[in-house]
Amino acid sequence: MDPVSDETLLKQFADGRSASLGDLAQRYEAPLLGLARGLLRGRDDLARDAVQETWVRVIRFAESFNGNSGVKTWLYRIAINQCRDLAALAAKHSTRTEAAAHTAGDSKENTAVDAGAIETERDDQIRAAVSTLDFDKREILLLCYHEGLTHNDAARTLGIPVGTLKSRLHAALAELRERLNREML
Amino acid sequence: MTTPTDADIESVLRNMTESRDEKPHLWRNALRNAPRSGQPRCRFAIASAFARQPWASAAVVVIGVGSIIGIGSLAATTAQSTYGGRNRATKKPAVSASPTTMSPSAWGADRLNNATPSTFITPSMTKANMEKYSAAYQLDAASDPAADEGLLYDESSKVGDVVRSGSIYAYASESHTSSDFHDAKSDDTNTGERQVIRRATVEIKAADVRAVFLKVQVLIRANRGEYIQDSGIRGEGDNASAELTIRVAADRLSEFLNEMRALGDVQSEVLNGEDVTTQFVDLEARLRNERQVEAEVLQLLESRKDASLEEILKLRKSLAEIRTRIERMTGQREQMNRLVSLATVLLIIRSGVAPEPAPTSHWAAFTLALSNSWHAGLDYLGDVVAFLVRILVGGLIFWIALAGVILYIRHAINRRRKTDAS
Repeated sequence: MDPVSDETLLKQFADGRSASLGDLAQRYEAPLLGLARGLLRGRDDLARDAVQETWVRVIRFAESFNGNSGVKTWLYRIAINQCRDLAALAAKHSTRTEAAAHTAGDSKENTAVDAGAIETERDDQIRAAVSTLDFDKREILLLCYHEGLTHNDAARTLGIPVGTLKSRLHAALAELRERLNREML
Repeated sequence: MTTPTDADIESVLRNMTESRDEKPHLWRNALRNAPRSGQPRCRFAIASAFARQPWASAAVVVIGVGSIIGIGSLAATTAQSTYGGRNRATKKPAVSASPTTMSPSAWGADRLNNATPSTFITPSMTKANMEKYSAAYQLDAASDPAADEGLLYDESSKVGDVVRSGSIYAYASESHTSSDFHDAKSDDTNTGERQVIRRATVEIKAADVRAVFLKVQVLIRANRGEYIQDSGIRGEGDNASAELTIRVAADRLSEFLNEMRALGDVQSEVLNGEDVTTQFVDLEARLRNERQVEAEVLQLLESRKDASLEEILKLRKSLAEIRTRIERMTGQREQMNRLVSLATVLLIIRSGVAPEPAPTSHWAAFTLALSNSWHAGLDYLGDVVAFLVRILVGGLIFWIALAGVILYIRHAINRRRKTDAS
């Protein structure tokens, strides 16, 4: 049996079937949480807020969804906007400890093994470098490498052509490498 | 440490956004806080609030509708009380204002008190009497002494005596009645019985005012000297009213009132009597005295034919003065006699539906009550609809402004939704 499409689930939810929203959440809540964590520099609390607020908006505007874009694209767009707002809010109250917590939080998941110590340190550097990028560049990088999103999906989510997406991606990668080189030096 | 490669970067980037195996639960929190999609689609914020609490919204609607109906019925009742209107048997009779804003009895008393008996033309007065009492006394040898019957009148005169000037006196004696309005008995004298001026004010309601107005005139007995002093009729249909001031033989007052009561539904009846016996007796005494003096002066004049011219002229002058006083007092007594002999009835006729006959059985009473309720309900409904139309039309400007505000709010909400969705 073919799985129910995202659009059908959303329409069912708009017509009063709450369980359809659960089906949608089953598909997209975890990926959205992952993306939000990446965009919000590993802040899990902010990521949960962003994703929950995304569902709130889906519930509120489910009836007005006009179907011009896919539900997936719509969800990611809302989530990215929420992450942008929260990032701006967090930036006002950011302290140095946040960066340390970001690094430490990720480190907890990585088992400290002597053999992979260098690898872990390198990953941390990359993460730290990504965190220092502007939100737009960080958004491009994380979207393009996010599991479950193709470049076309990413382009549609950001509302830009694929060519523009690729050129911005190239620029973001170039800047990331430059920062990494600076760190190495 | 070497520079990270693109593969390293890609790996880290994928790792930063990877989804973990956690059961989705944030959507439940959102559903709890946001309006459920199962609620009816509501495009307005207020309607959304009502959709969330249907019982409260239903209660508000019921209270609002009930308030409108209550205010409408109150307005309709007030309008009917002020302006009159339909007058059904089931409805409380409209209180219509007296023509002079006074109560009927006060109005009647006011009219009676302001009556001018001097304008009366008494049918009982013969033409000869009218000429005699209105003309100055002429002590002319050519005048017929017999024409001056008043001089011949004395207390021994009885009812029925053909005294040409006595038609008034005969009626005066018939007007001697007891104070409780019973029919008078013939009396020998007209000075020993109580003299009472009787007045009555009767207000009746009748379905056909004009018909009653005409019937009253038929009931008058002209041969008893009765007549209509004033009359007037105004309005039409439910707003018709009429007033009549009727002079009725005093001994027939109760009979006449009974006839009045039969013409309609008596709303009020006021009877009063003014005892003028003392004034009457006093007037009679003074009149007798003056006549006595006149007789003596005449006798003196007859006996002193050889008196000087000056003395004769003086006597004649005195005689003239006496005659003047006699005539004045006679006129006063006439007036009093007229008032006593003919009672004054002020009849006020107003339009009103005759009371329905009482139902004879329980079923008849039930059907009558049902019919009355049906008509009352229709009237009520009509009044409410009229009130709603009045509110709708009268507040048109405010309805338009309210619609404009609602449209603006709706437009703002839609614009915000589109902004949020994009």
